[in-house]
Amino acid sequence: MRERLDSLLERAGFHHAEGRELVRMQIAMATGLSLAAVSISELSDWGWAFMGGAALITVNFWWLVKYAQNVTSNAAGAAGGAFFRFFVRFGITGAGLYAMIVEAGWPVWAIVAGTITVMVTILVWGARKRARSNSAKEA
Amino acid sequence: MRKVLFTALNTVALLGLASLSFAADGSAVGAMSAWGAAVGMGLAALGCGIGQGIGVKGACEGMARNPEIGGKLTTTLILGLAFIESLAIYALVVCLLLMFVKPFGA
Repeated sequence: MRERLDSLLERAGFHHAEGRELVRMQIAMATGLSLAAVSISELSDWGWAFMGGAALITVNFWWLVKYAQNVTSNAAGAAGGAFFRFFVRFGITGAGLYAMIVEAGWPVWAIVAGTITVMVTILVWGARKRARSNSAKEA
Repeated sequence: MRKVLFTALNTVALLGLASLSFAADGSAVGAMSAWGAAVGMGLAALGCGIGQGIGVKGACEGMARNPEIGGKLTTTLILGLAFIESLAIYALVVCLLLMFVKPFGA
C-alpha cells in the first residue's frame, strides 16, 4: 500500500523524497482521522466537517509541496505555472472554507480540527525523523 | 521603552473599541464585525506574505550560495510555508465567521 502510494505520488510529480513522504503521511493521517471522526460522531455533521477540513488542507498541502519543489528545483519556465497554481490553491481553500462554514453551516471547531491534521502530520514526521537519526547514531 | 508604550497604547485602543462595540446597537455591531474581518484578514495576509517572502528569500539565497543543498532546503521550506499558511487559514476562518455567521449579532 505504502509503495503503491509512493509510486503514484512520484508519477504525480513529487520527485523530492521527503516531500513525497510528507504528502503520503498527510494522506494517510487525513484518511485515518477522518474515518475515525465520522464513525465516532455517528455520521453527524461534526464528522463530515472534520473530513471536509482534512480534505481541504490535504489538497492545500499537496499543492504547497509541489510549489516548494518547483521553487527550489530551478525548472526553467515553471515559474508562471507555479505562480498560477499558488493563487488557484488559495482560491480553492477560501471557497472551500466559505462553502463549509457559511453555506453548509458545519461546526467550525470540527473544520479547524480537520485542518490541524497537517500540523499533526508534520509533528509525527519530525518525531519519526528524530527517532531514526537517534537510532542511527546509536548504531 | 517605546515598544512597551506602543503596545500599551494599542491595547488601550483595542479595549476601547471592544467596549464601544459591545455597547452599540445591532447595526453598529455588524459594521464593527465587517471592519474586524477586513482589518483582520488584511493583517493576516500582510504577516503571512512577509513570512513566506522571508522564507523563500532565505531558500533562494541558500541555494545561490550552495546549489547542492537544494534538496535539504526544500523540506525546510515546505514545513515553514505550511506553518505560516495555516495561520492565514485560521485568520480566514475567523473572518468568515465574523462576516457571515455573525456570532455577535447582525
